[in-house]
Amino acid sequence: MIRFFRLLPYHLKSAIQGLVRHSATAFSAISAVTMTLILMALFMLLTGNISSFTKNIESDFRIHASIDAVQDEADIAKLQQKVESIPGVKIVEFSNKDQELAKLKEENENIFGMYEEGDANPLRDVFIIETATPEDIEPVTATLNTTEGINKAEYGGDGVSVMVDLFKAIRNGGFIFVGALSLLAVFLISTTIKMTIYARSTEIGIMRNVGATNGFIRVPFIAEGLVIGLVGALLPCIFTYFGYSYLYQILNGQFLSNMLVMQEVYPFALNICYVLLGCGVLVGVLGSFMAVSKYLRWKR
Amino acid sequence: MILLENVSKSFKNGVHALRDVNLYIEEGEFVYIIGPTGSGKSTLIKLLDGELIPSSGRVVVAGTDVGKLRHSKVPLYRRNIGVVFQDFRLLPELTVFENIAFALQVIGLDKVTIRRRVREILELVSLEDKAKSFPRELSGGQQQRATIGRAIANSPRVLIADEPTGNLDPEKSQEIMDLLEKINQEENTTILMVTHDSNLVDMNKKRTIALEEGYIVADIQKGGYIHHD
Repeated sequence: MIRFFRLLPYHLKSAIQGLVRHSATAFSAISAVTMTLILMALFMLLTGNISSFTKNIESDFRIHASIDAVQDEADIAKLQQKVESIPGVKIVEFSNKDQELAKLKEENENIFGMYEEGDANPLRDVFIIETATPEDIEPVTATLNTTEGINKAEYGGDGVSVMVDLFKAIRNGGFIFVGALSLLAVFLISTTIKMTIYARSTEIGIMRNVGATNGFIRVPFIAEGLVIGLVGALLPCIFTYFGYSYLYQILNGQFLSNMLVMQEVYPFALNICYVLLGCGVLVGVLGSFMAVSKYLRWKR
Repeated sequence: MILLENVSKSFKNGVHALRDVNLYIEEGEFVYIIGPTGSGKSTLIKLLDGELIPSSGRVVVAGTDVGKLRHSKVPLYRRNIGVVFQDFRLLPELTVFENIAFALQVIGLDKVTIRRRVREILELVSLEDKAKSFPRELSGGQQQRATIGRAIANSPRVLIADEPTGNLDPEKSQEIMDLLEKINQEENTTILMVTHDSNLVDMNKKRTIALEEGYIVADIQKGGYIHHD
């Protein structure tokens, strides 16, 4: 171990020397890392935002449950307790028919103004119910519809749920795609590094001839892989951080409508940068380890 | 120093490279190994530097039973023997100085010691003025001297030279010969030289071992090339 640290300057020096002297192959390995990581960054930005869109829309899911007109206040309070005890229900809010009318007027201007005169309000008192998870919405609605005292329970509607399903599909597909892409990257980079090492198999042979241990031979190559991974991840990181900040700024933080709110630059883009750097280093080290081990395996 | 006891080596393809070889070489000896292509010379060298394990028998070099070495110990064992190849095998991207220093870095010596030792070696192989040159800038003879320098840098007990003059003209060959003799005398290194060069063997008479089809067919103390029909 002490020897390892004493030799560290030598290893680092020979890694950098190796990169400089084999700059053509090093460049191709670095660009392989860069291209893959840029693709990966794009998909991470996309899926990250889609999952944030979905979460936003899902949180808008609320159940409207209208209450039978005959109920008096005490009954309503009892009913509210009953609704709160349904599994999956998070918050129950009571809103009387005047408040409901005011809301309608606010959203649709003055068309509903005519119902304000006298006793003309056709609306009912409602409970506005939020569930713990979006998956609870359907069963809770079904339960509410069979509950005595509730006239009718409804939620968002089919259109929104189709959109959420679509987003979910894109997100899951994206994750699978990114996973497959990362595997491909390891393979690609390992092949590239294998080629750089193949070009140096005589060097490895000579090292062995003068009595270098396998560990000693391996270290500079792995250090090279590490540097390749780091340098290759640099450009995608810059691209992700500054590109996303710029996009966030010109789109004002939302995509098409205010329902689709983008992830904030910090910490989202920064986290992606960490992931990219980590992937770059991992892939570089793994690739060169695999490649150099192939040339160190020998039989007598 | 080198002891071979009933050593045989056969390969999976049915080739018997060595058959029942018995050989003893003393410390500080200078020995030629001659024989036609396919007589087992290369196999003998590979057995000595730990590249191959004998099918039967024992190979002992400097007190180490080479055939019984564990894999991980082979590199450590190799530090006891220097090998010089016909095709030089210098690292093309390193200067002469760095090539020789390389053998010392591998065994983990410190910078100052390495620098001092490399200067000594460069002087011994008369390449002081070529320290900063790359192998491609050197003549064949100079490259071979650099290789020899690298092989003896860590003061091995045994130096194996595999046709070191194979690619050189007679004049340069004699130069290499003189250098090997100098190393043999000054550093008391045991030298095993595989060669085809009958002139060289006749002019510098030393113990000569002749191999043919895996057998030792002659072992002559007074030396001289044995001609085959």
